[in-house]
Amino acid sequence: MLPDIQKLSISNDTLPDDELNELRARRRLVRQNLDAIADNGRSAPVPSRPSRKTLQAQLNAFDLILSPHKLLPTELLSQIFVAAYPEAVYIPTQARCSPLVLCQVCSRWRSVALATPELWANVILRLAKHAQLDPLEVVQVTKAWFKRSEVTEASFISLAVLNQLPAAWEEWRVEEHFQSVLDQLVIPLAPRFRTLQLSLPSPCMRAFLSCTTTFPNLRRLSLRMQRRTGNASMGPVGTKPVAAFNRAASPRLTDFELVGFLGANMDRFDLPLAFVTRLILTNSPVSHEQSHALLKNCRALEECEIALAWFDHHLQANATQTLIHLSPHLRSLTVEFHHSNHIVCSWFEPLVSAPSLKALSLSCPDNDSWHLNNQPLTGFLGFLSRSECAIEVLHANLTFMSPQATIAIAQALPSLIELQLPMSPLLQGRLPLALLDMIAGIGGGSPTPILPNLKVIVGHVARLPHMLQMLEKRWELANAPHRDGSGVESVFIVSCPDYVMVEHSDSITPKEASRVDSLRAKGIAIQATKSEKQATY
Amino acid sequence: MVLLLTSDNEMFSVAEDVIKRSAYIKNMLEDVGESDLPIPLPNVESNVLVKILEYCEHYRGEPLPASDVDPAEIGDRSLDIADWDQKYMAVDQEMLFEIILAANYLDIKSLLDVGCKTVAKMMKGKSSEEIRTLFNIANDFTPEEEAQIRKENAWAECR
Repeated sequence: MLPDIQKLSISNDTLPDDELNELRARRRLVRQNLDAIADNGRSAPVPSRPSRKTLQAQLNAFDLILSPHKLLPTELLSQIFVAAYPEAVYIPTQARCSPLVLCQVCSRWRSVALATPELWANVILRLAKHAQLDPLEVVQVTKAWFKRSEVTEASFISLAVLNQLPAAWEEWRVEEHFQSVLDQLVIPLAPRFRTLQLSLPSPCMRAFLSCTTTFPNLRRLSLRMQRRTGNASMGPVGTKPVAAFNRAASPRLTDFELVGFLGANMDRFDLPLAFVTRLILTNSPVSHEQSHALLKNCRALEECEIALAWFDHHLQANATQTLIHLSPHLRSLTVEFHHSNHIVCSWFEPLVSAPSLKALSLSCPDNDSWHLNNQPLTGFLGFLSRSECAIEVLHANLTFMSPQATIAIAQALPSLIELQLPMSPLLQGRLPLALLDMIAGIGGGSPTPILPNLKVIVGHVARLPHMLQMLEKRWELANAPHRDGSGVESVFIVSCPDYVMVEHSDSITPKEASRVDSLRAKGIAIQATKSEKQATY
Repeated sequence: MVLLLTSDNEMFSVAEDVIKRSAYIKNMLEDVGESDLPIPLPNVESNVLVKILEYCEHYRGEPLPASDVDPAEIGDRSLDIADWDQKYMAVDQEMLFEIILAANYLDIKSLLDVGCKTVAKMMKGKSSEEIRTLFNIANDFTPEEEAQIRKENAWAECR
């Protein structure tokens, strides 16, 4: 029986193979007839328009019926939909920027899209004052959105909440909206969350942390405390144990982030530390003792950011500490110190073994203050030598680091690719001229340049010509043939930095400007700025 | 060499390391062992197999993706497509969908990913009407259904 063309032309369903072959054969026949008419038309005086018109209409109908998209079975169409919308969807959103558009194309696409839970599982909720949607309606829309992802009870979802409410709104009004997010979305859907990123006003955060909801499938949690300047709610967020996020309530948590928890007491979070791979405590300072305890217990840690509390530095200088073996998987460590180098030393003193560490970032927010100390950072250097790590990225934003300490650290890190020091004209912390000479291979008593893999260098130099000389020399070495005329292999192979951001204390001369241009022409991106601050020699 | 027989009865002789990018053929060779008999591919036409072999030949020697990894946990979720793959996929829509079907049937995951991403990129950012025109899709909604959908998504329109 011949397929019904009329019916098929308004259907988007896939076609069985035999029907497909039959239709393709019929389309070929129509095409042949059209071609024949066209050939006759060139020689015959009578135009064959009616017949051609009919055939052309048939051909168009066949093209619609045999549209290539109908070849795709449901599971492949679903896979394409997920590829088209792989990221979290902002709500509110425009239909054409979200999977909603798929539901508007045709009934087949609509049913496939609605049966693809991944399309409806990741949301970034923007709490804002929208023209079309009240903030409380946004919560309802999100709830309906997540409903589409609910194939089974174990269909995982991810939610991030952004606060874009008007700054002029009264605090109670803002809190009301956030509370509705918690009450209507977060708590009812708790078992389904895989990722949860919440930025909450402190009263809502307090209430949330004291709830007894469990998050059995939660892998990633990010909590950001919103505070208003001058608000009475500044300060620690409480002392009671956190019920929702401990090893019993959230046993699968591996990625944990706190932002803005002043006076954070990590003991309140009885986390499943043995499984945590990412621990980020931004603006949430912890004591030295707590930071060491965390590092000791997080045996699977891959990435860690810690801010040390300012208030207990004096306790640590003479503390007796047992050795702490860091996670063998730790790749990135960021530590914010509040005091000078004896604290850096005492913090690193007990740490051993970080064989996988590739990126280390040290900073001190008190960079403008003087903590002049010419002692080498022995505790830190000891850690580097004990760990035998191949650190490739070092950001040491510590103005109290003496030139000798900077050189010693550079010498201890032969694998360094990126070196970033403070943009400070103070003698401490800036790029020592002797170090630049050693990188160029023209100082330090050895013609072998140190840091052979260096590609990025950021910092302050007293004299720009030293930096230019280093770059010229490195470019020369990097581009020299590795074998000389007699076929003898060169002693060393070095790279040339390709990104340089430098502040300099001296003024730049026309000749130096021309040298900078010449280096840029060789492919080195250089940003050189004269420091506005007074240099200290 | 491995013999492959397409749905339109064309025989292809292909180097084993080239066609092993297809997990389907690889498993079949491991299960059956050496044989002079051709492997029938009833779902792949010769013109499509030529394209598939072009892909396999290009990536000859590259490591095969691990088969025991949870696809939800890995994979490049961006819509970036390598330059060569983009040129390879610059074909008419029918061939594009045939390649996707064949990659799925032959279990060549990387090719299936590239195919899906290519189609995904074509539709990204377009309105429903533009998508219908692009893929020659009939609008089969009744006026009542269209009104209902418009009502459902009113919050996402006119912004």
